[in-house]
Amino acid sequence: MASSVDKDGWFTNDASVRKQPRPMIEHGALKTIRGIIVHQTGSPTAAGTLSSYQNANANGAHFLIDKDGTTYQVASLFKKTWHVGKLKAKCLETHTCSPAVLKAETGLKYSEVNKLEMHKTVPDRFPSNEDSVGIELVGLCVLDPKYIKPGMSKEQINELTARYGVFETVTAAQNQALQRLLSKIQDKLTVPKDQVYPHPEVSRKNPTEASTAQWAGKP
Amino acid sequence: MKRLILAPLICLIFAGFAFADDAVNHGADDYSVPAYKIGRIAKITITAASEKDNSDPKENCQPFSVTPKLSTFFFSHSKIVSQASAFHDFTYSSCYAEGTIEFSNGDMGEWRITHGGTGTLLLKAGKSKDKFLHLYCKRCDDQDM
Repeated sequence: MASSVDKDGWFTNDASVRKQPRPMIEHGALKTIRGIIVHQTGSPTAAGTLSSYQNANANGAHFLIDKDGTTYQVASLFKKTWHVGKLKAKCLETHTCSPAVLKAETGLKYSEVNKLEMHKTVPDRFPSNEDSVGIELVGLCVLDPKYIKPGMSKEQINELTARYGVFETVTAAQNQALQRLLSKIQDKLTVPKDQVYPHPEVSRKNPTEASTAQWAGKP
Repeated sequence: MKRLILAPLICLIFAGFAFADDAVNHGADDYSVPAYKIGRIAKITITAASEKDNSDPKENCQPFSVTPKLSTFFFSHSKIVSQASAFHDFTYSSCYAEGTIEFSNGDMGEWRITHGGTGTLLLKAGKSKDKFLHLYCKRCDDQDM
């Protein structure tokens, strides 16, 4: 039997997607899907992230891909998850603002930009929590050893990681699983293929998050 | 008999230390929130009110400037968050301010606050010397501090 999405928004008959419901990360109905956002967890294991999704009002995304490519669906495709944050102004990022919009949006506070963007629709703005699916790739934020000097305490290293940390390179198995999953979501739910973004492109995030994730058509 | 009881106990203690090391170096406990209560502020100073690192050349840091009042507000309204949460859940900004803080319980530390409501605190003196904390101030984030 072919893989499909059931009436509750879960992949069924699909050996490559493991159903692991985490209702705490679901926050209301997701009425339309206009894009997909690719993230990295900031944690080294799937188990830690799956466990954190049991906390009240947890942030999370619909799918989690472990380093070996094991893919978990943790939220229904018909439910919103909080995975995006405040949107960047798309036309500012892509240098396509009209002079009037450029004047109006330059120098605004992050919340004000987000508010203005949410009055637009995709593709004139980036996909948001209201209309996107999120995919998390397991991956820690680590410190380049060049910053570590002999005698530094763990706390000093942690402080430097907070300043200069970069996300681990996405594994080949994760990239294969990501591509497989993206194709499935795009085909089953007719999501435009050009609306897949790494998280820092749409929202203010560590620029290295998901920067090494690969998929067909990635800009 | 005493040896039989003590041996596993000593193993457990050392296993505990090994786990603590492992956790810091490899992020095994990165969703845990360090135990610390932010106390009453005795003194706060600012060493850099508005700086910018090179992580996002396009970000405009001009609207971001931290005053003693704002930094006090940050520490009065922030909560301690886990490392994974700090790296993943909140706004990331290249704009930051730095300073020092003294609490009435004697703890002293160096802080960094970034545009978007996150911050860090490294305690340099006092009972909790060397503790490192990630902080998030939702009210600061909501107000675009």
